[in-house]
Formats: sequence, C-alpha cells, structure tokens
Amino acid sequence: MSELILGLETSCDETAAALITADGAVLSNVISSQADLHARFGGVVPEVASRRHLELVEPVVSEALVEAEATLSDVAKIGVTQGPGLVGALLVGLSYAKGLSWAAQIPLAPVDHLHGHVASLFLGDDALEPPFLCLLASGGHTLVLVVNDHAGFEVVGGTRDDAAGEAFDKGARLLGLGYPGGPALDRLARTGDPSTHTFPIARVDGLDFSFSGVKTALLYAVRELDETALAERRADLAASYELAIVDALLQRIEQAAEHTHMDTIAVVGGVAANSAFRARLATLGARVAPLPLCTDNGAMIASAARYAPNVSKAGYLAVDAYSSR
Amino acid sequence: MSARDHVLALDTATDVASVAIVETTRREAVAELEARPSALLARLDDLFDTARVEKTALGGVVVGVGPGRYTSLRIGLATAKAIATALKIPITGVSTLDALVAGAPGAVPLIDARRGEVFMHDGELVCVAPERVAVDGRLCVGDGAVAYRAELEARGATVPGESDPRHRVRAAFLAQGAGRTGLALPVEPLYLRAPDAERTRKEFPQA
Repeated sequence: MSELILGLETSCDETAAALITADGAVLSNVISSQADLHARFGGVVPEVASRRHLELVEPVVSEALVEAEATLSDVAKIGVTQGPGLVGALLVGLSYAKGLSWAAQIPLAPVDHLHGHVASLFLGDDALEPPFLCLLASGGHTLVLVVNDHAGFEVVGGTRDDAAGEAFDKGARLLGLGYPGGPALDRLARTGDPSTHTFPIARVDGLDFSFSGVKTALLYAVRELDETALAERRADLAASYELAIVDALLQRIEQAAEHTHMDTIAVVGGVAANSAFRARLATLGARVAPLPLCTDNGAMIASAARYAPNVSKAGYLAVDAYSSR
Repeated sequence: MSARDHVLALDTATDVASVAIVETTRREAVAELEARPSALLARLDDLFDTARVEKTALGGVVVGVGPGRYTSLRIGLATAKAIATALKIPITGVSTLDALVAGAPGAVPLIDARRGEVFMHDGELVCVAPERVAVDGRLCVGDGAVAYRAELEARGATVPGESDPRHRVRAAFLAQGAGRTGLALPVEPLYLRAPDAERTRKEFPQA
C-alpha cells in the first residue's frame, strides 16, 4: 500500500499527524494537545507552543505511522498546514514536512488550515459531496462558506470581532472556568437553566457575526454578583450564554442557506464539538464533523491534501508559512 | 564514491543559514552554500549537484543547535531531524559558537541575542550585555561582535570588518568541529532564555 497520505498540522496548540488512504479512510489520527501547557497562562503562548511542537513533531509522526502499520515508503503524498496560524508554530511542521519530502522523495502539498477543516467532511464511508453550505466555527475563525467543490470554498460571511470559539473561551474565563474554556463551559451549561438570563447578540449586516457584545454582557452580569451569588448562578449563566451564541450561529446559518439557495448545511471546527450546538444541529438535519475531527487534527489536512493542486518540487520546497489569509 | 562517507551539516542560528556536505575521512567540505533559513530546503538539490554526491552517500546529519534566533533555529532542527529520520541516519547537535570558533581559532565568538545582549560561552553558555564580556585585547567574531562593535572596541577588543568571513557561521566548520571535539549535544535548541510569558508569570505571579 504505497498510496497513503500523511497529514501534519502545527498551526496552533495541537501537534497532530494522521495517515489516510487514497480514498479517504482514516488509518491513524494522532493529536498531542498542549492545552495543559498553556492553561497556566490562560491562553496559547506562541513561543511556548513553538518549542513544544519541535519536541513533539517527530514522535507524533512516528506514532501515526505505527498506528497505521505503515512506513514512509507507503506514503505517496505529504499534506502540511501552511497557514493561517501562528507562524513560529507553522514553521516547525512545515520544515519537518519539507525535510521528509526532500529526503524521502515524497511530493508535498501545502494546505490551507481552513480548507483542512472543510475537508474533514470528505473523510470516511459517509463522506459529504459538494455543493453544500459550511459553517466553520473554531477558536480562531467563524466563517460561512459556500463549498462548490472538494478543492476550495467561497467565503460569504465572517466575524467582525471575536470568533465563536473565542467567545466561549472568554466567557468561560469570566465564569472562572480556566483554559481551554469551551469544553468546561459546555459541561457546566448542561447543569444550568438557559432561560434565566438573556444575553443579546449584536445584529450586523449581511451574513456576518459579532460576538464581542455578548461577552461584555456576560461581564456585566458577573460583576453584579458577589462570590456566593455567582457560585449559585454559574451554571445558569453558562447555559444562558451558550444558548445566546448557539442561537446566533443557527440563525445565521439558516439565513445563509436561504440566501445562497443551498439545501445541505454542514458544520466543522472546534465549536462543532459543543454538545448543545450538536443537538440543535441534529434537529436541523445538518451534517456535523465527527467529534475527533472537530478540533485541529492531521486527518483533515491529509484530506485537503488529497484535493490540493500538484505543485512542482521547486515550488513546494520553497513555500513559507502565512499567519492570515 | 563509497556509500555513507559524507555528512550533511546545517546551521540556521543566525539570519544567514549555512549548509554544507563534508567528506568524512578527509573532513573536507565538498560543497557549501548560504540561504535564508526558510529557503534552505529549496537549495539542497543544488548543493548535492555541486558536490556530485547522492543522498545515499550521507552517513549522518550535523545541525547547529544555537544559541541564536529561536524561530530559525527551529526551522533548521525540524528540517535536520526529518532528513535524518527519512534517510535512517544518525543526527548530532553542535553548538553554533563552536562552529564560529572553528573558523576563528582563539577568538571570542558572540552571537547577537537582540535586546542588547549577546550569547556567549563563558565557562557556561550565557546571555549577557556586551559590556560584561571580558574582551581586552582579544579578537571577537560573530554577528554579536558586529552588532556591538562600539561597546566591545571601547573595551579593548578587536572586531574585524563587517564583511570578514570569520563573522559568518559556516556549516562546514560545524561538521569539522563535531568531528574534532566529539562534543555531541542533544538535538534541541539551546534556548538560554525562558519564553517571555514564563518570565512575566514568575515576576508577577498574581498577574
């Protein structure tokens, strides 16, 4: 089996590598999260992340090969995240991938991280076929995309300020839930009553989002409470805050579907791991990326590489990382 | 050319990356070139063409582990690790300061650490202000010597002109230095400074 694709992802705080087959079956998907390392800083520290990526990149790639029962000689293409992300972090994965590519003579496909998230839907037996409307919601991005083919997408909406995942993380911080806050807020919200507080979401033109206002509203709500009262209402606040964000996302994606005349709706990215959001999406009949493929991972990068245009050797060995699109 | 009798040496600790192929028995560089750290890989085929050797002639990789610029160091180390892994050959780390000294025996090698400091070897590896380097009557080389020429010369040091080749880190010397001293370092960057966030956290723990 010399037709495998190796995917490597180091754009933020996950060092990840995966092997997929030429038809999109995931053989291994190894993710080493640095969340614990960054928790004490309350967010991702670029220099800390870059150092950790260099320590982890080799063992993570090696583990992905072992789990797939493969060697480098089985790999026909290497996909690697070129951007957007933290440049210092990206450069570790990109340099490692370029080194492997040059030494083992395996073609390299530089991949856009956002294309990777969309391509998480092209994996497995139940792969989604374009065209579809896709909401990409993560800690760094909130985008409404029209996906007409496997190789790319068109952006029809985005956030004016914070990303949805960032709103979850910042809200969790205000509630004293630590970092990364999204999963902690999700857990706490399940025990709370979402109807106790009303957090308004700013209305912006077109198909864009704005999440900075809802975060400020939560800040004011928390400020009004003393420690005892906050402890009592923490779960209710979390549930109400979560509902406000989920409502805003759902409203926009439905408007976007109408506006673009798309029947199929799909949701990818870390926010798609939120349980309340997943439940609501299920009733809407939307496709949601499988849980292990929501947060940053190598399989989605390998999947995007499967559809990436071929670049000449001189071209891909010279590519540099980029921080934003 | 018999197999495995060459070493690939590379250093990306400073703004100019250097890469060389060194023949191991004669300890002689058969090809050497300079590039931007991120453009290094794209030039490797040229290097092998000049040397007239194949990748299969490599018996090892030697990489400069700094001290130096963190981001470019990581580019070099990630690249070197991947090449060694793919070719299944050993990899050795060598101090970039040792490579500088190999090109200028007896000199004090100084690498620019930015923020008004230099990386140097003073009994141990340190990051200090140039005013604290004992240099009287000595020759100072490296981009740290060029960056703080005025401070060093005021204190009796000799610093060659900016274009003097002794200021440049040459990967060929890296391989020769490794061969001579046998000082193998772990293949991890010599950071010498904690990340800023780490230092802020220690100095202002409640922040």
